[in-house]
Amino acid sequence: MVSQVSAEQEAQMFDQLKSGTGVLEGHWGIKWRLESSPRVLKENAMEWPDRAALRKKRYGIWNTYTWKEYFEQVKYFCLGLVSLGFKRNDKIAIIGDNDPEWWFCQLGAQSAGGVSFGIFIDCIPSEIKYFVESSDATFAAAKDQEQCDKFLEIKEEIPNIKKVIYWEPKGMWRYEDPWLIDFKEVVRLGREYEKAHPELFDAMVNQVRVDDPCCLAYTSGTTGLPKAAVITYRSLLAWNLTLWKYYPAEVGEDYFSFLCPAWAVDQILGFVGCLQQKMVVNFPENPETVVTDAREISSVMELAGARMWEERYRDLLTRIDDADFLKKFTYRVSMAIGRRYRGLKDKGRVGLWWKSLQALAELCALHQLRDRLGYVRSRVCLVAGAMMSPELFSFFQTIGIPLYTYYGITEAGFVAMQFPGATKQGSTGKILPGRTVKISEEGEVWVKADDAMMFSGYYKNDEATEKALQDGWYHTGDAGYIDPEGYFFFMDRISEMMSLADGTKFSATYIESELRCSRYIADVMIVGHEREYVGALVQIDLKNVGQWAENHRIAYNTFVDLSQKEGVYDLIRQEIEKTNTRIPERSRVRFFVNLHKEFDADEAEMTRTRKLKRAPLEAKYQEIIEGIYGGKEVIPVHTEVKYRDGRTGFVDAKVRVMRIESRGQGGSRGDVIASES
Amino acid sequence: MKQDEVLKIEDIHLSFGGVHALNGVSFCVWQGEILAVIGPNGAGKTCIVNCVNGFYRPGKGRIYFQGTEITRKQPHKICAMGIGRVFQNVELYTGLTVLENLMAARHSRMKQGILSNALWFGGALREEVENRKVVEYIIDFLEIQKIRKETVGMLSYGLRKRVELGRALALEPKILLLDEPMAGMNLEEKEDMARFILDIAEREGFPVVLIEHDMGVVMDIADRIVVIDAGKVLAEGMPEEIAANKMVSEAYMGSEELW
Repeated sequence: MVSQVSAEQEAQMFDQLKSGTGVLEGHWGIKWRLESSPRVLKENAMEWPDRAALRKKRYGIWNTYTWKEYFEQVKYFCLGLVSLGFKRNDKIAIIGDNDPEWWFCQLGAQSAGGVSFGIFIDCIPSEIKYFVESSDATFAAAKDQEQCDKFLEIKEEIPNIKKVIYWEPKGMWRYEDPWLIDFKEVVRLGREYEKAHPELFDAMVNQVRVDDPCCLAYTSGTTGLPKAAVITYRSLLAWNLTLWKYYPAEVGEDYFSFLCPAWAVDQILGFVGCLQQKMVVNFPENPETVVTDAREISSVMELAGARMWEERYRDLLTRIDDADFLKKFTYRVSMAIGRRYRGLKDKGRVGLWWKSLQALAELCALHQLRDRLGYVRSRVCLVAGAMMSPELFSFFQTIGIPLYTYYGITEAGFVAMQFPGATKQGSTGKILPGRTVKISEEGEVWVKADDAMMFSGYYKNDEATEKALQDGWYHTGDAGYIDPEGYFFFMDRISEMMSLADGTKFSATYIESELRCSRYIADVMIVGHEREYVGALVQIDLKNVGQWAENHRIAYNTFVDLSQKEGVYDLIRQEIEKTNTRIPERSRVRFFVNLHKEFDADEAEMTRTRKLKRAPLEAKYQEIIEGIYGGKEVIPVHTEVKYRDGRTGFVDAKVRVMRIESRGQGGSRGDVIASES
Repeated sequence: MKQDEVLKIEDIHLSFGGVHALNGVSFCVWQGEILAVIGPNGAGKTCIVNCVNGFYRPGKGRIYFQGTEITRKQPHKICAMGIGRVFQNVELYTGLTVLENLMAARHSRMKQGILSNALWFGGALREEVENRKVVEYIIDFLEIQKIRKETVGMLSYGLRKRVELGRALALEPKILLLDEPMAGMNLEEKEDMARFILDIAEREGFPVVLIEHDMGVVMDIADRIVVIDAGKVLAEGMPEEIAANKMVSEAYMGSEELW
């Protein structure tokens, strides 16, 4: 349903976007104001005071905030902040689940000319300290008791923070520290402040320009400390516009916000996109109820990480395994029909027979599956983050979920994207208008984009900015290539491209993403750089392997115990053998161990977005890795573990190494990667 | 220390045939405190609770709740007065959902007749909405939104215990008796439960009587401890005093190292 826009109109639109102001109108059914978010909110509230803007499930009911209520919360929170000493260009750190208050805090600070940024909710106090210090934040918003306790722990070390604002008062009844303040109290202060300064709010909002910085987006930091990219309102608008070009949504449609808002994608869609297009942002009751809440809302568009889809896939397969015979049978037949139908449709040769069969499959299983996952109204689901296995893509597309992939970076937004008509498998789509991509001699992806679409440098880190941005080319640190048809293929981070001792190159991330397709493997780290062969450190999926063990009468007590069971080793071996058939022969996994513990972000083993941090991991599991290549069969390990509350303990275990015999033929996508690199 | 006595137990005796379960137990529960009752297995801890909510009739002695004697009242009347209890073994309707279980607990507060409930209008509807509101606050408080509509029989033991606590809260008690609320839980579930108990005492301000084996938990959250041994009160005091009490450690575990 992409409405037709001529190339000329489009060019004019992007021209206006680059430096203009005013209203972008008429194309793809949009009417956007090239202005900062606080001003857009104000105008929305005047235009549509009584229509729904936000919805939050509380006490089992969806509660609606109208645009007017939304605006008032933002306005009084902003004035309250100002009365507490918040000034233009000040920063506010926000840590909490997806709640309307998160949005109020951000827009409130932005209305005063401030800049906001989010922190992942599971960050430990020392990480919070880093974010607060590196951003010069002067205020913090922390959802609840749990988050406030983290701030209280480091109170002495972050003297710049004037107040910590909480919005969930549960459990805070006996906290008397005046450093903490209730969100409602800030709003009340704002109402008082308005009486003395009636003109102030409008004056402040008028000063916020579209080219002002609006948020800091922290990079995920796989190789070092996260850096804060400064993003302007205009960049967020520009990124949205490229998205809307291919996937327009109508005014008033639903968006479901469940990804951590600290991640840049929710800034793009959840804030600016929904604000401009006057869409309704829906918030889940709490993080545990996301699945049922998503089903009730059924968002029209979604941006999510590959990890989430991998988890859903594993969960779904396990549920189907538990279903009765009839359901299993219906599912299998429907999926087979769906796959065949999709294959024929791609070739453009669908006859009436297959159309009717597909309709039957839809009726019996596919629609139900889509409904269960909450995608009946979905028009586009974009997959971000790490690469995702083609198997998973085909699975979800067969169910009928419009899954597309894109290549994007915090510093330049979307770079390449799949869209209807440009969905070559394995690629991340075509390069988007306004961006240029060059592959350097070393194979690194360089991106150049209009200023409007680029970040404005790293906050207070000119050295890093200069290093990353040379002659207008942003050096991504990623490896990739563009094929003759203009499709962009992302391979891996350059730092993660590995080669065996004989020079065979392989992508660890690729093998890992293939292995994670197995529902018994929750996570895995591939090793083998400058070694003889590839090895894998597997973290079993406790839930699914646990259930498998129960069904096979294998008794276990802890994760360590389960992971080292003979039967579990055989199970994982079979899973790896299956995956090996899709991997080029030389880089197949030859040895693996089942790790005795899970990878943990608290121990700096992965980033908060669940990307592996290889260097620390390799150091930590050195004895295991050496053991694998030293030909050992059993390796004793002694690992330090850090608990949430800061205590440390030790886990002693013996892990076994298992060898995998090679068999089968090479796969498709892996060959491409191997040959291109 | 002079505070409001909510529950007063005066010299109660209880025998089953020749077995003397309780031999003159006396203690008070004060407003707003968390009182832990500890003691070895078979010391008579659960018997005390059963006497308080009327399942057992003590042979001698009296029990007062907010100044009224309740020694020989029937259990449902004692319950209606505001003594809530969480059982050691989960006593929920396993075939109903969490929501239905909690709504069922509100039944003693519903007054509409069969007819208006069947026709579902006016008073009955209002009553349902009001009670549902209370139940939803409890669901939110105990963070069990995810299992709101799941059948209790399908839940893990730890979660059932939490629902059981919710059921007791749904009665809007004035005092809460918890009989080993953490037995059989893992560390994480215990920590959650401990937090909920603290939150309840903090927010609602009513006293909580906690029978518990886990000494770590008791020492962490109790304001005061009563030690029972062989049907008698062995000691009573602040956690530090009890921890330092040699007699208690010997009676409890027969060893010097208790905690």
